Amino acid sequence: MAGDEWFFSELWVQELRPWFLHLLSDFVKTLSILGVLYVIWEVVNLLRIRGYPPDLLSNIEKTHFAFMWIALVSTSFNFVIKQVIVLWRKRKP
Amino acid sequence: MAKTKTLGFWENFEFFFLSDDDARWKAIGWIIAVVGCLGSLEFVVLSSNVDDVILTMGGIGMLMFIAWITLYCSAPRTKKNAVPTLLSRRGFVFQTSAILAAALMGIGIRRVQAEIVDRELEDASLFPTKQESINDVTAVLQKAKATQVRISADTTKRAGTRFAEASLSAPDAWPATQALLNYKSSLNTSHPNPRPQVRLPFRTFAYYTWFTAVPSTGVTYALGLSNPPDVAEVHPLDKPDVNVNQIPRATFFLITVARLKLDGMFMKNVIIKDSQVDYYGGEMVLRNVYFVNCTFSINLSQNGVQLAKGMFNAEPSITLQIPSSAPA
Repeated sequence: MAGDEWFFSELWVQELRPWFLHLLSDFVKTLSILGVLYVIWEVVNLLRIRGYPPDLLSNIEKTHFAFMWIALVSTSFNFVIKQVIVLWRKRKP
Repeated sequence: MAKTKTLGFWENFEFFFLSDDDARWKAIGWIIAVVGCLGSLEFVVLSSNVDDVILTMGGIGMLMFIAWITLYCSAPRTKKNAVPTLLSRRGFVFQTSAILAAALMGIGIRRVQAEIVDRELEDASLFPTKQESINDVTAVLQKAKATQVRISADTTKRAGTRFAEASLSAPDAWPATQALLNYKSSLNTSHPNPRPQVRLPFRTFAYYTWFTAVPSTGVTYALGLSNPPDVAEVHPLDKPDVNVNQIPRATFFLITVARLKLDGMFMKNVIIKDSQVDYYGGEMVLRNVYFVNCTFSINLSQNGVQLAKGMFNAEPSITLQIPSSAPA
């Protein structure tokens, strides 16, 4: 039992805690960006309901799409490449 | 004096991705800002198509990433000053608050949208015989569908009942009534879903007797198992239910992507989903029938108005009997 406790404590301190902190840090920042994009999306909907010109709304939507696309790509890329590098490091002799 | 070792390219690369949060998120922020702006310009000013914009943004993003990494990894950095940076507690609190604020703001805006659309529908339905009101209702419903804003069931019910009642004296109000019916049906997302669920093989099953009564049966399922009288029934009014001797029987029938004519039909414990429903003002009996995301084609008549009013008042299933003696 004592051996098990030592193993899990070691696993948490050396492996899981740093991984969790990095993941949390990235997750929170990613969600912040997505939160802003969500608010802008709802604002565009609100403007549509208030009867703003469709041309203007279409242009705002296009801008929103461009930012949303690159935000999703770059944040997903960040998550993926981090894991790839961690795995690659572990395989290095 | 000990010589400080300078990090190589790949060590810097690893450090960038695994430890230097500040630098990495600074790069992500700049890439989003620059690529987003350029993509917007191409999309809005040059009116390029989506595929071209995505290709351009992908290319610029990749170039920026490579340039950033090259500059970062080429900078002299020793093990001593390569200190991992992580999210501080203050940063965590600030960013979590930002997420919560964004979520609350989004939900708040959504509520404002729903209130505006509700009010617009309520205002438009005050004078259902006016052409302007009829146009307004159609516009409001289109807006609600386009923005995926849910108009409250109460407002839909009030507006629909007003238009249905006005239709007999002002037939121009009838299309608006049907549009409201379609919308009301799209709000009916919940219905009973008992198990087991069996897709009915009509051709070899006794249930098939009503197969000929409808133009297109779509895909039909028997949901749940019950004993009479709490069982599903669908048959023409002038023909008996041939399944009467079967025990147990389905609690509900789920009819999907079908085209149904309600005239002359007896329906009990039935869920009609994603289907076209026609009614020409004939005799019919509906008991505990759900219309989920259906489109309606109902002839304007006293009976049609009665059916429409019944559907607007459905909570969410409808029970309604229209006898043959009722004036058509």
